[in-house]
Amino acid sequence: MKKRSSFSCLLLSLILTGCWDQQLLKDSRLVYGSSFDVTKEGEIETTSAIRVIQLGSKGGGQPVAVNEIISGTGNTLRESRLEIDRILSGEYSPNKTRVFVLGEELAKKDIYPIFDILYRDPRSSLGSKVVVVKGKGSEIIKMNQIGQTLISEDIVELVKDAEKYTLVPNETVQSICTLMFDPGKDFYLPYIEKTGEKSIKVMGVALFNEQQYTGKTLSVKDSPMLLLLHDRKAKLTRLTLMVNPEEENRIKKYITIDIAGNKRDLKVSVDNKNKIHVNIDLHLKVNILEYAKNELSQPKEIEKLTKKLAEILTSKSTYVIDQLQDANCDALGIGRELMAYYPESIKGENWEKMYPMIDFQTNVYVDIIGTGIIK
Amino acid sequence: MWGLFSKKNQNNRPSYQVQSLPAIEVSNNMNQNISLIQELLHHTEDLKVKVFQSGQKECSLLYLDSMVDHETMESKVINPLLQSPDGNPLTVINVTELEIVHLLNKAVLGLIEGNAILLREHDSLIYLIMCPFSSPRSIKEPISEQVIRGSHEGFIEDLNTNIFLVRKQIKNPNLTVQYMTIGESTKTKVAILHIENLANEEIVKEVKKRISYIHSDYIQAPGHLEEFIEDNPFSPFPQLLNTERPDRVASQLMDGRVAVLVDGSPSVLVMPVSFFSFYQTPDDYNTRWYIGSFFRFLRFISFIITISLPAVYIAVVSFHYEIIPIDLLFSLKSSLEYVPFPPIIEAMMMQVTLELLREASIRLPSPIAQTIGVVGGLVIGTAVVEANLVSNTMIIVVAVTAISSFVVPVSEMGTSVRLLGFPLMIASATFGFIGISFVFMVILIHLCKLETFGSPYFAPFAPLRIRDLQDTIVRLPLWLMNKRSREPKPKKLQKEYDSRGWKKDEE
Repeated sequence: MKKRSSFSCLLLSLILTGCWDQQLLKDSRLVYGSSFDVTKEGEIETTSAIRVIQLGSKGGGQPVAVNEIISGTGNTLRESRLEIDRILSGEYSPNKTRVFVLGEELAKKDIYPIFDILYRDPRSSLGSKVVVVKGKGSEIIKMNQIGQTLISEDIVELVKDAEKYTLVPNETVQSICTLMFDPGKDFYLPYIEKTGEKSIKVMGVALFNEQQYTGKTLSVKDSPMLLLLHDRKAKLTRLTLMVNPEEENRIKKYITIDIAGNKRDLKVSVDNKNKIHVNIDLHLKVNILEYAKNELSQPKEIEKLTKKLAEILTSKSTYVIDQLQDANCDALGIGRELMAYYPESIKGENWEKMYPMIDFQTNVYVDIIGTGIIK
Repeated sequence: MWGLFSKKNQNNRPSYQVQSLPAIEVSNNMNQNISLIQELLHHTEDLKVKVFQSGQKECSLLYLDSMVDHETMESKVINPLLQSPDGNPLTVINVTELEIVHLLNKAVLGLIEGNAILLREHDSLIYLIMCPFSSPRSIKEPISEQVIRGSHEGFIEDLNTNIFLVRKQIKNPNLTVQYMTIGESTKTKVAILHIENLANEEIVKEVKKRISYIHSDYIQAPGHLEEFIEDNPFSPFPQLLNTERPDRVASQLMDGRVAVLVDGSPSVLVMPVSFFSFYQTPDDYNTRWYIGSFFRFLRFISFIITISLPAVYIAVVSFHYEIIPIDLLFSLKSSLEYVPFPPIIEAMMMQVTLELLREASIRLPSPIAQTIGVVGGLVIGTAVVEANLVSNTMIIVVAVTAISSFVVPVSEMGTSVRLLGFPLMIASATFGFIGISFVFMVILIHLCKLETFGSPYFAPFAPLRIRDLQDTIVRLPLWLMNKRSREPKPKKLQKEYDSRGWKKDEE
């Protein structure tokens, strides 16, 4: 009798439990990209691109993917999602979202409240990209399709490409989490812009202070330098710099280089007067990709170019640091260094106010290691 | 509850069993003896009685027409008896086995085993003359266990031939054969083979003890025997190795295991075996060691795929689709879009269809079995997807599962593992990955706990014996495997040494 009842208990628990937390793939509506904006009333507006399958012919035929764009508003992110769920047939499933687009206005406020739900829910997609967009994020999502590429795919591909060229940092929802809570480190995100009816473009990076977008950006001309200073060089780093302003032919004024190797030395020191000095030495190994003036066979010319490049790049790095200090964006994590090695120096002080006053000293050393297959 | 079915009825034997024959002394009246024998055999019509004169005495020769070899009987028994002047059967009959019995029931038992019996006038004894008729089929490679390289011999239905095949491989006086007879009304002969001084005698004793306990009317095949002597009849895993290959039996004997041969069946039981014995084939040793190792590893992967792939797929599409890469996810989703069933029903449907196809193709004669391939491959495979009953991916999953279950060298193990997939599928459909891990845990606990004939089934993993791993998921070069596996508890571990000593001598 005891055996039988325990057996039926087991059977019932198998039959009656489980299953309810099933999330069938075929019932879910997969969200590929979402944008977040603030409305005039201060509510959060979520716009999602949902991937829909259109079958060519029933059964066979290649399925065609189409985006369905749905917006919802609410006081919190969850509320706006609930509204979308009311509009949408099937289950709203943002757990494979590939990209989150933050509208400029929203990013200028605290962005943590947006990400709270993403960190709290175990099923959410932590590997998705986060980008900041000029204007409203929903405008970009609503473009639906760029050429033959669907919008979310297009943004992701753009950002990935830019990452490869060291134009923007490789950040995901997960990687910015620690930075958001770290008072000694700030982050910067890819910054994109809708440039036309049918095109979007990576403009550079958006600088954040703590959890807020500062409104300051670095263009793609300067952002590689920031990434180099941050020791985050990706596979390719290509810069076009003006080295011969005196030349008449415009194309001869410029040189295009690829940075093949990067060694960064960052030294933080505090002097007697409690003044903080940061010394950054960048040792770059450079390949010359394009130099229309073409006098590279002479060692003298190479030497001259080396000196010139070092000069230009040093001034560029100084400019980037100035911009960072201006935006109060501690992207290089100087605060963290200080907290670790010189905790007395910032004790009781307001780090936010101290940061712009730091004395930065940057030096770029260039070593030309290649000029291509012709001299 | 089981007592209900196993009440012993030993004292009250049914009259159709062999032991029920009454013990009757042979009388000196020949004709009375003949009629009594006919009575005991219920006047069966293939009992022939031949009466003739031999050395002034009337003799009669009785035999079952169907059981004796006529040619031998004529040349070795009847002719000498007719020609000799004194007619003493012990001197004139030159067959290998000649026995004198005094009990009629023994004579009858001799008759049904293929003896002829000779009765002489005024003699109260019976000569049993061995001249059985046999028509063994030729020795062929077993179709269920083919190899690319190596011996192509296979066991047949004749016990003596089978023992000959083993002896041919192991020419060793220590190879010991012990006969037992089981089956109360069929009298099936069973041979127990082991190598004395190598096999653990505890295990040999245990095998004999278990076989001696069998009280069954009818033992047809080793399958019967297996169910009576295996340790855990409720386990899904086969605990005795079934093989039709003499080379395999020989190598197992040389590892210190015991083989049981049953007359009338080409399958031989080997015990005690571990889980990994079922994943070894003679091919592994016939090819170079890293090829052998690669296939071992492949089979190990096939085990994991067979047992878990459908379950993992179900869990992924119904609980955890986040883990699929996004590009794959989209094509998965598009294949699932118009399927009306939950994944578990889909999987069950396809698995059952597959089992049906497999079963049908075994039963059908081979010319028709090919149509099954067409029906299975084209009709089921394509049409089911066209009709949106099952998704494309599920077909792939089930097909891969089936193929990897067929990789197992012993088909019984392959089927067992495939069937084990069903509880896993149900668990994954109810609890996702958690369910899968629970069922896996139960299976693992069971495997660790299982013992066959006193040796651990999941060795060398549980208990962990690092050295014995040499011949499980990899096969090391033979000159490195110089010790026997400890799992059948052999008396000597060393089996090889210094076979590549020439290399050292050269230097």
